[in-house]
Amino acid sequence: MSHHETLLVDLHKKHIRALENNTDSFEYWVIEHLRVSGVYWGVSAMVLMNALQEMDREKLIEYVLSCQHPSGGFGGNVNHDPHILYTCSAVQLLAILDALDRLDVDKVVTFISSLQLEDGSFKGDQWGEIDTRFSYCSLVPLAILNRLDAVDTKKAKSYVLSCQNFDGGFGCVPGAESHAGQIFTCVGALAILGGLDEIDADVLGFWLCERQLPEGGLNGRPEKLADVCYSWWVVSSLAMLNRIDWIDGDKLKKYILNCQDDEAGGIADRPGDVADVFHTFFGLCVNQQVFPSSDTQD
Amino acid sequence: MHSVRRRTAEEKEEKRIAEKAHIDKFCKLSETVMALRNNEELTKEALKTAGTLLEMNFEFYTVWNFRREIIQRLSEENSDSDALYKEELQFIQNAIMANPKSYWAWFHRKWIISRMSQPSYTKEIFLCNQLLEKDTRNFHCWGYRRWICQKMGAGEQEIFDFTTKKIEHLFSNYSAWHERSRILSTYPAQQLKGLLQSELEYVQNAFFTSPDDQSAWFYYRWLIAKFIENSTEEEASQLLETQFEPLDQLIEVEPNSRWPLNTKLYLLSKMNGRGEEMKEILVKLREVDPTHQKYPELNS
Ligand SMILES: [Zn+2]
Repeated sequence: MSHHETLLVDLHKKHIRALENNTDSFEYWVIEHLRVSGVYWGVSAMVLMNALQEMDREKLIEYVLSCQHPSGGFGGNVNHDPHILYTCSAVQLLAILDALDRLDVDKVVTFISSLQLEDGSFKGDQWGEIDTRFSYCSLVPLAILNRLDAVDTKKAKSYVLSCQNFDGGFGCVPGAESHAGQIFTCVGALAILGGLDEIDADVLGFWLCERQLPEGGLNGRPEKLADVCYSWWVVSSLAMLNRIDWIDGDKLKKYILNCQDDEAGGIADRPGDVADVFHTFFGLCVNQQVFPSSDTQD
Repeated sequence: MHSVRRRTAEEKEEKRIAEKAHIDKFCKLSETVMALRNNEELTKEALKTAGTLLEMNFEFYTVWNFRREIIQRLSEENSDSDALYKEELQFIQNAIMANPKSYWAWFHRKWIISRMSQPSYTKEIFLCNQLLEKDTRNFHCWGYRRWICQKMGAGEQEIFDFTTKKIEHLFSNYSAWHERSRILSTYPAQQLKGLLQSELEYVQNAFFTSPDDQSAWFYYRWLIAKFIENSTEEEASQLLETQFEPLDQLIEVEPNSRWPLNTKLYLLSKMNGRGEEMKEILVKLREVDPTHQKYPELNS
């Protein structure tokens, strides 16, 4: 296994740009249903590497808009069904590309508000699966579009709080086990809703910082392996709780740098694994969050 | 993508050649299924074709939606919908066995069960228990089991006993400790307080057996906090005093183990005038665990 001291920025840019031409790999096709999110991760990674200008902006905007349905929601790809996961990515992407003026905002807002249920929870689409991930993914685009008034924010908040557990963490529905990804969505939702003071930040902060393992990486639940994407869920949650210094940032950074692919570029979940756009983006996010003035900012 | 080892150039080329036929099949089948859907072919035949596609990629959520549209239609046309639903449950079971972490597959199972006039909840519990034998931490499965228990009106004691069974099998089963805390949280304060002594002994037994495993320690912290919440100051300090002996024993046997130390720090922070002892422990803690330098107890 190779060790790296720095972020391999040029290789990562190459890795991201090559993604759309990778059609002879089955991995390309099995994530076809979440292409819009994939594009969001890729474009955001380029933003973090100050390389947005290397992307074809107009082509991206047209592609995203072609995934919107008459209902206002976005599918994960052209002709795929609308779902809040991809509606969130689409709005985030258009905001990054500075193209919100191309979006029929009222239609999106109508779609999102149609997903909220009586108890304040959100379903993901017309079929009715409920999850706090969907609360977060509904609130983010509404916050971006300045339209939080379109849903019942008080109920949204109390639903998220009803998913809190004995360890201070949050699960996908009331009673479900805590999980770092789920904690990110719930803490994020509460941050948008102005409800962070309702969390016991010491109890949750302790659980979160205990995700760090001796090798420096972070896991998503007790007694699990480290994974780069969990680093982001944990680190960003700690940041929202003002407790980012509760983990060892230098050790984490070393771990992430060792997850880089020094041949093809990109960052993997663990050292030696295959890199992908999801972990590349979240690895760069952690790097930026923990070390705001480091190597990507040259 | 998770846990896929990096490949050499040679392996990549082999993979590319091997995958070509697979990709062609997947793309053709996707086109066929999308066309069936556009033509509103809500038939058994279409259900089968959609199934073949899903078997190649269980995350293709639009195809799960198509399946539901077909099933809705077929159930309107047929008098014996339960037979149709049972077949679908079998299909989902295969999907879950192949990919136990697919949100879409688990949700689809709930959707089917909700439509059945007489679902067999015991069969569902049996399936969950089987899956939890293989992966005892699968939170999708725990969540589904919880949902079924609620539907069938399973008693709290029954669920509590299940967590005991899972914990005794594996002390580090955090999912089971979580479930235990959830059940206890539904008890009224006095009942919970009454259970506390035996519960504390139970969890002490667990952390004595494997002191480096986090699960029991988190649960222990919660029990202590719960007790303090529901007690007078005098009761609380009496209980806290009794907690140091077992911890000190453990610290003596395992001086480099961090959890007995940080738990002692936690207990001391709940008491008055123990600042000096806290400082001493902190020095030791930072020695045995250089990764964690900050502790919430320092805030108060
Ligand atoms: Zn990951």
